[in-house]
Amino acid sequence: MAAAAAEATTDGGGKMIILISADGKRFEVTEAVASQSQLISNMIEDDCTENGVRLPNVDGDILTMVVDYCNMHAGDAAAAGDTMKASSTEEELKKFDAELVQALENPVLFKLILAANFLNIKSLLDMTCQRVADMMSGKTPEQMRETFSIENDFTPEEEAAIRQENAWAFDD
Amino acid sequence: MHLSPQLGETMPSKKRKVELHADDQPPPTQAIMATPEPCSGRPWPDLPSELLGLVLLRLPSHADRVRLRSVCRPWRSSARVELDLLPPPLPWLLLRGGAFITLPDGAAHRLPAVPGDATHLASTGSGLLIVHGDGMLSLMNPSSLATTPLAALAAVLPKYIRYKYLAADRQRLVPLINKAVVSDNFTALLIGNRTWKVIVTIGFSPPLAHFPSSIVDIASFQGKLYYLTSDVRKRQEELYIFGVDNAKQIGIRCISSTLKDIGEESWFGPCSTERYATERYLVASNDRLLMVRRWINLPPIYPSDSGIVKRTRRFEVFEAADLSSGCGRWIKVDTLMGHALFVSKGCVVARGKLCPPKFGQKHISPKKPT
Repeated sequence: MAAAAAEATTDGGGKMIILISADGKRFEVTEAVASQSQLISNMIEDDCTENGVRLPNVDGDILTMVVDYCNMHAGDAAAAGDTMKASSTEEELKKFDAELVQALENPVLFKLILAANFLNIKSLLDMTCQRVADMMSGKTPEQMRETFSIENDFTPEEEAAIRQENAWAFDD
Repeated sequence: MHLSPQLGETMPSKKRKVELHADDQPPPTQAIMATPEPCSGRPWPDLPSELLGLVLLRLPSHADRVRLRSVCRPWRSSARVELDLLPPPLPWLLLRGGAFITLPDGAAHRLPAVPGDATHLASTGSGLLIVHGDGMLSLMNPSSLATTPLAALAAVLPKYIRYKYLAADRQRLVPLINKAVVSDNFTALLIGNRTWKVIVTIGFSPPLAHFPSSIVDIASFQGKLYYLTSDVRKRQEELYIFGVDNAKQIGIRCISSTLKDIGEESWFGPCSTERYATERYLVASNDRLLMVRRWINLPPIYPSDSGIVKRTRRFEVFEAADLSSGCGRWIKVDTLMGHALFVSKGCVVARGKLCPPKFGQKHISPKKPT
């Protein structure tokens, strides 16, 4: 991912743009790939991507995952612009998504949600939020705290009152 | 922190800032505001409230939502804000004995604090109607357990119902209340058994008990009380608006239809020897008033001890159209637009993006009628 000229054009015919992570890693992607982020798509429309798009709250490792995701999904999002990329079949995509989501652990999952939200990539945000919901479903509050490394900051009295309020939900 | 190994180092925010300043690239053409990102290994309490909302959106179970709220303070306060913006959780299915089942996990729970003298329970959608042993009625919010007495409603109950049926058997919860409907303006009960039924209302002036013939269900829709009658012999269904005129109860007919009017009897062959019984339900779902018809297959030999169960073969859903014209009609519906209907003898609720009720009871209809 060397710093190529930001104006370079490429195989697919789309312009390339450079994404720069918080820790200075640079990612060169086509506009079609980057446009899956509504934030970047708006910036492309406003013509402010020439010097690269700096993403000061997305770490390099997270941005790697985001770019991978966008590369895989560029086919369905931008089929009109780039037929070459549409080669990833639906099954491949499903497999990719499933593997990505399964591999997500704390706190990478947390960072990926923030990144998906910040970059405004709806499908990735949906997928990561669904993963969190799946990890919570059917768990007691204590199990949820364990799963997400959350400290119980209620006083014992408060907790007793909360449980009392909806006692039915806590009859383990 | 468990970052992916290829970076080989963790990335605390301090270091990140240093790198940003040390970077000799020209400043970005567009400043992007960063949301504060927690850098501890325990970031989850700081999940922005709108993102917690997106997670809650994917937790349709009431129990899961309640438990999420008791994980930590930040989640509790975020959830309080977000829950008002979310579609309601899936309903509880109330069982006759007072227990209820939460969906979609199917876990059974005990109902909190039902008064010991309760002889009947009925769901009203958002609350629980309790009939006490002395014939009094009250409405309970199952979450807060706040109870509102409905003395006026109890007073309207015809005496013989109050004494003969409601207070008769305290040991057993008898499903005498077919349906309880509570709206902003009125409260109505459909009481009865197979041979007689009565609508008891308050909120209309004067409060009344009404005995329309062959009534099968009631529903509150757009501020009005509707009731459906079914004449088995004539195979005719009629929909009325309940009203009061000169201190007398009246029913304003808005739909009268026979099975033929809505293309009936086409789905099972005319030569078929199968016999069916039908149940009908009225459901208000968003801005639609729906009639659900349920076809129950009766086995050829059906003594009650045969061990053969009646089976529901088919649901059909119709939407009321042209209600105000006086000559309305039922139009067959082939989609519930993502909503699910919960129907039973005791209560019918529609669940979906905008429907408020919280309690359901028993049967679940398929998401889409087939």
